[in-house]
Amino acid sequence: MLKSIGDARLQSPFILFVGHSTEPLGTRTYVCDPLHPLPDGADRNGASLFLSILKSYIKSAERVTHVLCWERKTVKHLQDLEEQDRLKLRIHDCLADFHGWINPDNKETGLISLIKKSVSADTKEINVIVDSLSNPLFTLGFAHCLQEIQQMINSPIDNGPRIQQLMCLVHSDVLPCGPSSLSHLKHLASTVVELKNQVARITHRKPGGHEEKYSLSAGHICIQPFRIPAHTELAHAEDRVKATPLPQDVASFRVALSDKEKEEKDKLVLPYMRTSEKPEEGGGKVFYQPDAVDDWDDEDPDDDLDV
Amino acid sequence: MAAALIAALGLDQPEAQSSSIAVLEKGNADSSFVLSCFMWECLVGRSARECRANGLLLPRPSESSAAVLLVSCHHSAAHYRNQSLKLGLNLTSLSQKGLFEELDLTKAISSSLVKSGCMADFINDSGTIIVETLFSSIRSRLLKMKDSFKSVCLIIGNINDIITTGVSTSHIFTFINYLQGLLAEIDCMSLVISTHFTDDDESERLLGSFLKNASDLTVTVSGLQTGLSKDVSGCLNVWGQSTPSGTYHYRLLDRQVKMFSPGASSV
Repeated sequence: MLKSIGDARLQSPFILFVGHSTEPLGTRTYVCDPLHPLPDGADRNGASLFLSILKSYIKSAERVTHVLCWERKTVKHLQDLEEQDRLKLRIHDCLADFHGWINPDNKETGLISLIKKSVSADTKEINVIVDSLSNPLFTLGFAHCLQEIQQMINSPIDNGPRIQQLMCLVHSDVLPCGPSSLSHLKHLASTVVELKNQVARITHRKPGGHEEKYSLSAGHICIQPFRIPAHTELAHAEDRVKATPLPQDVASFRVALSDKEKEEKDKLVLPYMRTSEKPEEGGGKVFYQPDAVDDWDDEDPDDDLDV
Repeated sequence: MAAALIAALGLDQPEAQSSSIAVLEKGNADSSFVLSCFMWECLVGRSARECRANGLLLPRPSESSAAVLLVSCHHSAAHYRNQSLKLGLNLTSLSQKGLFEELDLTKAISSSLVKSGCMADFINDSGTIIVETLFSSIRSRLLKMKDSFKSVCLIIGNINDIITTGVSTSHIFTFINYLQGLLAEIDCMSLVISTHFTDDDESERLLGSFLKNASDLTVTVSGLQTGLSKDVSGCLNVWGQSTPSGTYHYRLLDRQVKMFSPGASSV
């Protein structure tokens, strides 16, 4: 499913990527495009995966793709692609002077007006990508953005082209009004890709209302059907891992023992342990003798385990 | 000195690509020492390394090719001057040479409230900062500095304090967007923004998350989870796209910041 999005083959008017921010998990990385490998441990909020899909999407798409860049790293990554093929990609740097603070003539009223300015009259259909939507949701206003998204999905731009596909990334931790605003966005989207702990969960809503769900694990992307029990198990497992990190992951020294060290540890005779029945002559020794009143349990505590 | 911290952040490497850095301070931690270390790096450290690499003697700070603009929103400019002096950096003499400029917002706000007329054009009569005018002021200063120096660095201390003057979160985000936009406009510019970050305050949480997403390198300064220690001042977390992630403990000494791995404080 994710590959079909990257190849611009998925028929879905509004694809929403939701990046859930997590702590870095070491060296696990997505490898979805061998031509553009991602740096180790870089994808903490799904932005790198989105960027990788975005590059593949732009190359595969048949129409012109307009990318509204609200993040500086997106502009940096896509500049080379734009230079290669200016006919297929148009980058709009929304960080430059969107509100006209530097030059009042540059002031834009919204996302659509920005696209309209750069579309030629003979263009019939375009694709639009917003990276990321979290930024304009604050700076332009949530209601305004929602209206514009609805307009982009449902009707052509005034006297202009129709937006065939809209793809947006949104950071779940940077949203006005919290989770409720995310629910609104998900409701509008026909395909939702949730990126968390380097696992992508995709919900695709078909025109008839039928929903398909997939889960993609880290490493090489392999498509596997999404099962509800697996989902809950996975979520619980992730939560458990997040709540209690393993000591060997957080310690700056080696926690576990090697086989040799374990063997030496077993051989070690501690000073209070009786080694022979006959006490050695000369010098004092301390022996531990269980008291009569001690609650000494001779039973094997693991007796009930089937091992 | 600040070299240990700069090395921990990977900024001493020639291929370091972090031009936008977010410094988040959690709980009662104070991240101002990190900003002082960045100032030291821009004004002294980087040029010293370049000279060493070329087999030259250490340059005098006046010969440094980087200039710094400090916008302090929480601590006074004097606080940073004193802190930098302990790291061997005399900001007063550097400011006379044009290498260092400061914009003390706390002082500007208090002056505007005490006196009838506003002292600064980016503050209105009620003491609220007009972020659009503040940005214009910062931009013009940076462009002027860039005319004289090879690179410029903008450091903003505790940007979250602007919210407390009555500025909305959306305006702060727009302000940060414009600062990020300056990185494309001005060559060889770096941007360091610090903010206080708590999960209890929604505005601060959003601002922290926003900065994290917008920056190339994130440095989180927090206290020890286990309480106080005489050997460790706090914990420093580093995460960056081109920098290895890591957790360090640090100890603030009178004239030095010591960095070490967790558990290695006594080594």
